[in-house]
Amino acid sequence: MKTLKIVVYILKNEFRNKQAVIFSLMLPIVLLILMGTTDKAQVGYFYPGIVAIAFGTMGLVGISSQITGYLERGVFKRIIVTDQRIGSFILMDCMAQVLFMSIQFILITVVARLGYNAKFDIDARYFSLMIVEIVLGMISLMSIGVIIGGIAKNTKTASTIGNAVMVVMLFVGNTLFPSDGWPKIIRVAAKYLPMNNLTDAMRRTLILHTQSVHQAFFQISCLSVCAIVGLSLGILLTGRNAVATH
Amino acid sequence: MKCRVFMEREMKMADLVKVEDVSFRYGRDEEYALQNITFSVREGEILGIVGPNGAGKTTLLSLLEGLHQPESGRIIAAPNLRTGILFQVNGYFDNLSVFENIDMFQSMYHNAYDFEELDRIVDLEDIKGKKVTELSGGQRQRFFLALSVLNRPDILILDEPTTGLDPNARLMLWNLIRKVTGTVIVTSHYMDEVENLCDRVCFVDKGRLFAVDSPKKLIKLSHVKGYVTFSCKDRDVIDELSESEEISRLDVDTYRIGTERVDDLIETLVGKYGGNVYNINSRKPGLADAYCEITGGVIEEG
Repeated sequence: MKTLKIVVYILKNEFRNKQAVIFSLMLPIVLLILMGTTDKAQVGYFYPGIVAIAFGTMGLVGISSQITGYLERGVFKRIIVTDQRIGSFILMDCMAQVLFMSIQFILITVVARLGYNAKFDIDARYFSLMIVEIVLGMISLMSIGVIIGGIAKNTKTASTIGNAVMVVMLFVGNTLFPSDGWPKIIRVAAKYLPMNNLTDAMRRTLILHTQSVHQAFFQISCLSVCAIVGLSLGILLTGRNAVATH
Repeated sequence: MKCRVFMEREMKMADLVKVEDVSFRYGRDEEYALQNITFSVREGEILGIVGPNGAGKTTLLSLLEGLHQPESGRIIAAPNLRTGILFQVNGYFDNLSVFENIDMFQSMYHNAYDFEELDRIVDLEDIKGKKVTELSGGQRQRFFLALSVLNRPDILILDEPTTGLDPNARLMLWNLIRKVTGTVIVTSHYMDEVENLCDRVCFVDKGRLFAVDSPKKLIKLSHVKGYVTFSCKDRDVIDELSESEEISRLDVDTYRIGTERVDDLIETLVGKYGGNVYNINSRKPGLADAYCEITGGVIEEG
């Protein structure tokens, strides 16, 4: 009950930041509209990439800036002296972000489907697995954001690092553009990136109809390892930083 | 009190916290931020910690708060001691109202006051619907104080709670602090505040503790009976006075002499140097003077 209350308050705090809400909800829609104006038929293909960009903006840039903001403004210091563990609070914050990203996801899907009649050839066998992968994708991107928030010295640095990581993932991670042009070592490494696995799962399940148990297992493993290792490391770093900045 | 604090039942009932020979530094290659600090906090008292910036006050508080561990020595707290803390920089959620912030932080404690109980103690009715960013300095500190006492603390640790507040807001806050809990540890730059409100005061400088006693006793340690301040533009007069008195220069042409014989000195200044010396004032020594004498340091108020 207390956890739910804190999650709701974190969401409330976020939703009242109108600029951030408008930007994070509208940017992916604007992107979708721009891509749809050239070729409506391509919207279905771009849709997973746009979802990944939305999650990346929130997970890599939004969360990292938020964590550093909490550190700078003494929110974590205030939490340390309560009976609440910093780690649990960060997990609650992530839960709130998952809800926020779910709203983003629904909005993008509705606009793509209704506005552009995006054709989804859904593979029903893997649909529920894809939903799990989408949630894991959100968490794994956020976990990288938590690490960035735990090491960045201030909000500006966190935002810069978050944006840089996102650009790298966008270009090498098969998100919007094929990664065939990159050297082999980068292409191999990119296979393990959360943004790559997220878009790959969505494309194979919703459009290409090429998802397999083997592929799904690989995607889920990569996303889970990133989420667990990233969150553990991020919480550790943030906790240390919170005490050190006292 | 969280963290690795030793709890001993054999502690005197009157002592809530004992700091024994505590030393601390932020890194192995760093200088000691605190060295061999020993004092106790008695139940029901307001204990002031006084010193200039960088003296080690906030570090000392962070050890008492359990945010850092002593490198040597130990801190002994009474069993099940609950601590309330008001930091210099207090975190809050900027898009939530006062009520929502308190409700949220209340969820982070096991046994916290609910809003109505807290309202009766700290009086939050007029600000409960406002965002913290919309509050005045005094209202903001009232809200932070409410956050600090949310967990029904036995002891309240306040790090410069009145800095930046106007005199009315300072007075209001101190009345509240006295009302909310019995035992308080406070750091402050305002020596008049510490002198009037604290039962005992610690003088800290360069990580060392120089004295702990009541303000009256600390002031009595001062070897002078009073201070005479005056203005003088004639350097020869100052040189002549320097031969018999210890003169401190306070300003371009303002000086201070600490003396055992205040009346005699004023008589001399008026009678002998009347034409060159003006704006003569005398006052009894205060806590700031005692601080300077005992530590050899200087403390700037505000």
